[in-house]
Amino acid sequence: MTGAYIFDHVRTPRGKARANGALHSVTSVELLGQVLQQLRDRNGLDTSLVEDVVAGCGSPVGEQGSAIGRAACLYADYSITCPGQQISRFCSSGLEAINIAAAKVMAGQCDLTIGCGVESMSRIPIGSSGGAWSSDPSLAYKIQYIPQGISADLIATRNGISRVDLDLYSVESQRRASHAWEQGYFDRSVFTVIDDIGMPLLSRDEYIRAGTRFEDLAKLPSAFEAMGANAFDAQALLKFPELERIAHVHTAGNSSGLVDGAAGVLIGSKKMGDALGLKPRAKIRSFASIGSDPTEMLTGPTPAALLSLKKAGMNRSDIDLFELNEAFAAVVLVFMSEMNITHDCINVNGGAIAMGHPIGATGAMILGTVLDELERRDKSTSLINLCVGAGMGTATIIERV
Amino acid sequence: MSDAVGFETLSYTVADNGVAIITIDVKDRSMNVLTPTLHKDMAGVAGRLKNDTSAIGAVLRSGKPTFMAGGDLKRIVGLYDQKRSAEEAYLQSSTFTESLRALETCGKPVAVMINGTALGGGLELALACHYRVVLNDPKIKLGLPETTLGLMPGAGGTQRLPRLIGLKKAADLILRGASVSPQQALDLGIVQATASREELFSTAENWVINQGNAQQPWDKRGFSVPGGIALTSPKVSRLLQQLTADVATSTNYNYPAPIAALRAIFKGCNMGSIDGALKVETREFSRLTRGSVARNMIRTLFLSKGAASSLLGRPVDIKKIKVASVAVLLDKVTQDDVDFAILCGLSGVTVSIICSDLSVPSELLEQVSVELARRVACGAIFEAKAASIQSHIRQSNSSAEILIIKSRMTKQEVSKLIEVPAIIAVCDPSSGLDTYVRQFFSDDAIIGVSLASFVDNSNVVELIASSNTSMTTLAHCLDFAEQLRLTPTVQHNSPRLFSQSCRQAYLEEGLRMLKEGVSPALIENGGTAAGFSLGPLALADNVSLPMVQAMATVKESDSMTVISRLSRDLKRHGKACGAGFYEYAEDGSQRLWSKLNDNYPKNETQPDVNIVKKRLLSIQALTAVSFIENGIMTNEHADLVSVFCAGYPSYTGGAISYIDSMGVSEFINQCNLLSDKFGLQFSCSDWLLDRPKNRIYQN
Repeated sequence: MTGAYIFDHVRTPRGKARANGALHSVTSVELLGQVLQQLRDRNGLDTSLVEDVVAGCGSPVGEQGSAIGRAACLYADYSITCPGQQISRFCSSGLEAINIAAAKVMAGQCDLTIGCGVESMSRIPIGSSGGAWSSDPSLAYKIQYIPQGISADLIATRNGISRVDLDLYSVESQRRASHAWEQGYFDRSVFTVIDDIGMPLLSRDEYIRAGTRFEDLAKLPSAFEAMGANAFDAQALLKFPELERIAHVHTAGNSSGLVDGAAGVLIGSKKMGDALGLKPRAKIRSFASIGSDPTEMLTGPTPAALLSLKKAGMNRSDIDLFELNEAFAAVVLVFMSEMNITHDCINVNGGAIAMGHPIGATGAMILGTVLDELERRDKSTSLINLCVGAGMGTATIIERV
Repeated sequence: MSDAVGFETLSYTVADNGVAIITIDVKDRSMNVLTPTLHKDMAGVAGRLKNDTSAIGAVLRSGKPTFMAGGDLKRIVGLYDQKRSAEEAYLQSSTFTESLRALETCGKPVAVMINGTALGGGLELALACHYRVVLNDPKIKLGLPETTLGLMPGAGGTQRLPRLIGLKKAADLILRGASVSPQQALDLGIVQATASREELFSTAENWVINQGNAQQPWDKRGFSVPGGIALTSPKVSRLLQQLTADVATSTNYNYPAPIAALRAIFKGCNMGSIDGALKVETREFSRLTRGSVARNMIRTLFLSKGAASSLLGRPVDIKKIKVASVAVLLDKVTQDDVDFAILCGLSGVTVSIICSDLSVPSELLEQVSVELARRVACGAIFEAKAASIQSHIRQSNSSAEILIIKSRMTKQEVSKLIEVPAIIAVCDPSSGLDTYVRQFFSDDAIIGVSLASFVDNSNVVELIASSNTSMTTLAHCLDFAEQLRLTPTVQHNSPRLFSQSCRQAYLEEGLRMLKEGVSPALIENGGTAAGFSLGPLALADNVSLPMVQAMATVKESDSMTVISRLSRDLKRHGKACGAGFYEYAEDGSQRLWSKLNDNYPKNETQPDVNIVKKRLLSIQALTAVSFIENGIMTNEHADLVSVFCAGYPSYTGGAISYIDSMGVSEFINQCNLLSDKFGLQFSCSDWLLDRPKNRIYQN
């Protein structure tokens, strides 16, 4: 099997998904197109050599739909011979896109690909693609669908995780993210998004709140209590009748933020890298996606991590840094407890609680973030992982070369 | 005018102005219902109208005082036992839909004049017409109540209604089975006009002559459902998520009809052609007609309830009475007495209070006036009615047809206050009052009643006749219940009230589980998931723990040790004292007592919730069997009372129908497994083992 190597990674800063967010005026194709332009310009790429652009997106509809990978290539003035596609595995779309782009190289059918992801949550709000699993009464009834926030509170309840646990974790996430920005840990990969006339729009993650204190978070109201009272708590209890009630412990402060953003990773065979003079930064060791209970929805990370370790022939102790998307603080705390790892080796530069979670882009962002950190620490291996809607998990293991 | 063209269930004539008049009049029925013949005739008349060159269009009307009641429920109940294949059921279910579609696409405008209540298939018929005018009488009801009886609209209702008024409003009406008044129907856009009785026909006729448009909006090119339907609209997606969760949690997955209706609405409305959409609806409808839930709900909630309400089985040779006055022997006033006095007053029955303590009548009057003021304030009754009710309550009257005994007083003492009436009704058969009363009054005049069952909002009353109770006494008590617009049921020689026995068995099983180490949350959620309105522990708290203990037939049992522990040792007596299995906060919220686990530690492994559900459903079913096999009551009454008075879930059709739906042998297997694991309370009687045809209902 051909080895798939990572040559480069870039990402946009994350803009608040609000009407006054810095990236609200930028369409999804522009966000992703600028990522592709950066990858081309930073590496002096002859884009006619790129054999596929796999783009992940959580809500692939409207201006964000219709094979946006191809649309972004055309926007970025890539060679017209460069094809593009679009995939969705909800929150792990960006990582899955990288996995598929890598798989094409590993299978020997491509030599140079791009795995990327995009989400403009301010322009295409979450839920815009509808979908049978959540909204077709035939299926949603059968799988006992509840909104993700209720699932987050459900797994916290089932695992006995308190509001204090979540808030303590989240304060630390904010501290780490601010510290990483101050120290310039993100500088290598983040580029400035520009507007139609070339003026800079955003250079730093906009959502982040430096100096967030525990007391600030403790004041926030629970985010999903009202939604739970509208039949969704009752639905969760029907599925898990041993619980008396759902503790609504998640808030805007210990859940991921809604943001706009895009990211991409340049992947290829060693042969192609040598030919183009590109230095491989890491090798993709293995990847895996799994399905888990759709009502709990967010318990996929552990089985996905274990499967990817197994595929790589590795043990948990072989991983230097874990990077698990902070969709909700409970997701990470459950994972840490199930994998028996401490906060020291996971999400070391913060995560989506501090910086936001642009659904389809996040997987491609955090893979690059942790690669930069491996290099900074001169460590070798990382496991990148996300929980996924409808009850799934996706994990990828990379190793520096 | 042309000669009437004969169909069995309707007539067709064409007036000189070219307007055909179709009059539906199903023979030998007080109301029009959808019989197979009407299905056929409707197709026939659609063809006739289409090909009749003398007709320019039609006015469709009813030959009865109401428009149409809907499906023929008696026939639908019988379908279950026919064990039809999916294909047979589909074909039978599609005939009326096809007839209505033929009418709708016959090429000539059809106006319907809705002169009275139109429910179910009646409203669906109207929706298939091009123009709907309804009599402006607020008493008229228009609605699709099918889901309340385990069915769904099956003649286009789930497709035409959302195409008319949008998915959100249509789903709301269909899922609740709600009906609306003519004015509400006009506001919602279900009908195009309302009219007075004088103008009803001319409004319909004028529309045919002057405006007649023979094409439905959904048959026009470019039609889209108002408010949208595509899941790419986040608003519609969220609405469907909410509706699905509402249906799931209001039915606990026990009632197949609402979700079937919602599926049909969603799936069908996303289709460009209504012809295809109607097939989607027919599939869902036909599946429901093959299941046991529709049979059970229609049989118990509609047919058995109707039969009991019309006093089926009352001896016909005994003259009916109209009760003018009831005397109540009382020594202290409870809320039941207040509600009972108001109930009597509502039906014009005078209530006299008999008591040795003269403060009781004035106290009752005062409490009645408070309660009436409350009901007037929330719009439940008019002020004039309240005044009239109040005037029906007296302190001691010289005569009454029925004496209701709630406290001890000798016959001599009673005689001083009132002429002793023919019927002596004794409250609360478990109180021992009946033995006391028998010393003074003649046995054949005595009957047991539960005053609580008159006023518990179930509208179903339990009467207990002893072997000495005369037929006349019983018949007159039935008449009295009917007069109060209640549904009477009878128990013969019953040692205890049936509903109370069922509830007691239910909560004792819950207590037993707690003692075994089943998690209290699982017990409570198991109860509600099975369809009971309260979990066993919550019910015990509501009844009060000392009362639960008093009601127990076996005093030395696992369940009673739990009661003693909580009530005697820990002084947690239930909801009324603010502490029981639950703790009660000042804001009215309640949660399971946090120390319950210390007293009854949870087992490491917990049972599947389905085991909890089976235990709770089966224990009450076995209680019901013990009443049936001893000849205490009929199957129909046992089913009725279990659903309406004992909280047994209605999808089962009642505790007896629960057994019949799975088959007696399967129920016995289930009980054997339960009794091996959880105790002899699940033993089945020889009588049950001997049931022929694998069921208890033999008719």
